[in-house]
Amino acid sequence: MRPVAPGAPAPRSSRRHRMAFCGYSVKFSPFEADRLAVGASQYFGIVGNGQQLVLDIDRPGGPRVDDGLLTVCSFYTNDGIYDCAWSEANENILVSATGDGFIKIWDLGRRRAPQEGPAGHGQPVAQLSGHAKEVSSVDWNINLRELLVSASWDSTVRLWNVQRGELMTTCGAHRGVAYAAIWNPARPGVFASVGSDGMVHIFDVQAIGSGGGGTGTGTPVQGFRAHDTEILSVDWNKYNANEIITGSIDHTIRLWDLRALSSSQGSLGATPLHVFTGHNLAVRRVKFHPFHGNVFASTSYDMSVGVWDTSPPSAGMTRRFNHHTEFVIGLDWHLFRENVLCTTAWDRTVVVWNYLTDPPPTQMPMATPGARRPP
Amino acid sequence: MNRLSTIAGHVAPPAAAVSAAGSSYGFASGRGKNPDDVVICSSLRTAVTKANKGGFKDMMPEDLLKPLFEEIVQRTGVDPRLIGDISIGNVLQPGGGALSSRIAQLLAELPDTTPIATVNRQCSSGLQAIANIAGAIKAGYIDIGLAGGVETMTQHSMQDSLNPEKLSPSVFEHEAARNCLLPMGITSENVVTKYGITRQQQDQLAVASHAKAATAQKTGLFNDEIVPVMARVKDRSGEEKHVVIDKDDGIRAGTSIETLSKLKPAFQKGGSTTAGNSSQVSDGAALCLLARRSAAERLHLPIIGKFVSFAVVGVPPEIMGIGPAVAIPAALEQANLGMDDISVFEINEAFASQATYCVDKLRVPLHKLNPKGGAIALGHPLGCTGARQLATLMPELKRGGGRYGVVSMCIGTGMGAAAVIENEQ
Repeated sequence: MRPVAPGAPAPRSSRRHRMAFCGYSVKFSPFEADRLAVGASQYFGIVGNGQQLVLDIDRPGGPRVDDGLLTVCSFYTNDGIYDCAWSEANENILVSATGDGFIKIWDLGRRRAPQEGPAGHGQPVAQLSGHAKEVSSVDWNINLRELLVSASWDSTVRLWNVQRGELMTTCGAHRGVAYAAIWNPARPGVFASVGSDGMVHIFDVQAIGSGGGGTGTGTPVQGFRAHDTEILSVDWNKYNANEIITGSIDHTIRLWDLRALSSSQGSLGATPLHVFTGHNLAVRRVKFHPFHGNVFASTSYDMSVGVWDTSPPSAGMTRRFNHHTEFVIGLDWHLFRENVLCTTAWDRTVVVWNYLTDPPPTQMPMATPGARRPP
Repeated sequence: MNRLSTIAGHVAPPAAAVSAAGSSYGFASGRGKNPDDVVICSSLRTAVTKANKGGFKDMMPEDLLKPLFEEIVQRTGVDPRLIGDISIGNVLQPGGGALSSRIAQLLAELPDTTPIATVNRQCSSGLQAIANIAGAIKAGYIDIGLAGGVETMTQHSMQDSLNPEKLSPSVFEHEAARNCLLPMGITSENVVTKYGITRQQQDQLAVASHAKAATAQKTGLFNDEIVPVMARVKDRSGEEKHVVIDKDDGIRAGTSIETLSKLKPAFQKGGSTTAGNSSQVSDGAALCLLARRSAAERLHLPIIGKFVSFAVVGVPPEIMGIGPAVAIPAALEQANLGMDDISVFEINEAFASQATYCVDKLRVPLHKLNPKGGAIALGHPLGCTGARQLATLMPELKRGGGRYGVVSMCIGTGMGAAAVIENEQ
């Protein structure tokens, strides 16, 4: 482990890395500071293969590459990768959600020597199968570290015991596509799911049971209509276990307090704490700041990245970044360096920057003599 | 599942989802508030004064625009550095007044980093400028913009704008092309003849225009929209004085059918279009601040209305006055609204003939037509007019509590333009 103290300056300000495929998801490692996983798909994820990359932000004394992001390894899949997640139990394990309905489990410790072409660094050590359609979201439980939750275009949200490699419960959560399911970091076993029916459902592992073999009955403990259109993303406030944000194709992000929904049950619309406007197209991903309870970031089909403040009266977008030239899909906050963001987009780039101090690079860096080409 | 259609659905959701969300795409947004609406933050104008003898006869276009730029920044509190573009309508200045408009911007201490363009779609230039800025906001080029129009018909007369010697001989061999050269008064007579409009009808509309304008002026209904301007005025001896101009000076309170019926036809022997039932030749300027709703909300700018839809439609040049009768239905259709939904129609009275035709054709209830008077009483500074009408419309929607208003005018060489505005005051 090489964690750094929160707030420590990054070795170099900001980075932009070009990939072969279109970026769909980015996640910082919870173990290794400056290590990130990127899920990517060929041909915009509509047809073609997927690539699971692991990149390291280079550091003084270590190997250098032109763009400052060193490729640690790259795995290939038969279909596009829509999301990825690091294990919370093992620093070498990560999973990819693929378009053909699988959750592929990779082990960096058992990666092969790099090979050219689709062989990459080897094959998954295991895969979880069960989803009938595209898997759109995976999230690893930070407290119950054997649990993984996935959401799929087959309308279900599934709960997996990764340790045993088995499906615990299938939740018929949504009418239409289930786009995201995210664990509550403060309440072990509680997660929220969102989908194309505009609903937010809250599940509790204790309540839904986990009979093994997928026999549990997945009934939500709470559900409410958050948007009249599809919801693509959801996240929990890390400092308030009752607060969630939802990002929808209606261009808005809404902030909710689960204790204060004016019509907490049924399909009637509930009242958000705040409606954030500023994106001009669908909001693709929302993510709360790991260090500040009143800050979150968002990515959008309008090709911009927003950073927002939730504290009244100044609630609204505080920063907008336009460094991507295509739909921005993936987003994550650095877990060790305060205010460092990473985004990835259909423009095939991954960009890392400190949103308060450094402008994100809009172009690829120039080659520097003596630096190694990316493998 | 088809991935392409699913992802396409994120960007352009199906109609059902849209209506459910109260959001929409394009201008034709109909009802409801959406973060990417184009909203009007403020709409102001100078007084409109008679050309050659009115209060602004010695004022240049930049003199009229400058105080509007200053006032709109002050009233809205917008940070001038955030204004992404400016568009000014103008018809008669050389080059559409591109030079004088830029000069006015700089005189008003707006930053030189803000760009400006001028637009000339004849009598709709002011409205076209607003539509251009609204379009730029819709396209995502800018978040906030200024739009308006200016015309100083004292300084640049309509007669100077056409030099027949600089036209291709082929123009005269082609009927429609030739008809573009018809004096506007003749197009008015053409409408009279073709649609059987009587002299009495025209004079009645003119009398009503003056009466409505006089009442509105007397009861202070123009106070919210007019920005007082300190004007240089030369008296007969050539001595220069400074006078505050804050009232339209073309309104004649005592105008009656009797006085108007004595006037001789101005354009054609035996015709019925007179100086009294035509719009006045005037000097004036108008300006509005537009923004994307999300930006306006973020920056706490005032929101007084929403720019809902806009349409321009062509008609035969020789009867150009019928333009609004075609353009208004087009703009309403875009907005998915009917005639009954509209509370106020600001239809430019270029001539009483064409205004009468349009009102009859569209069945505009007279109490909804130009409630504060039209161009026959207030004047028609060509490039300013569309923006002037918006400035006149907004306080009237507020006063009457109406939800939707329409701004429309005919356009020389054969067109009509119309915009639908939703009141949010």
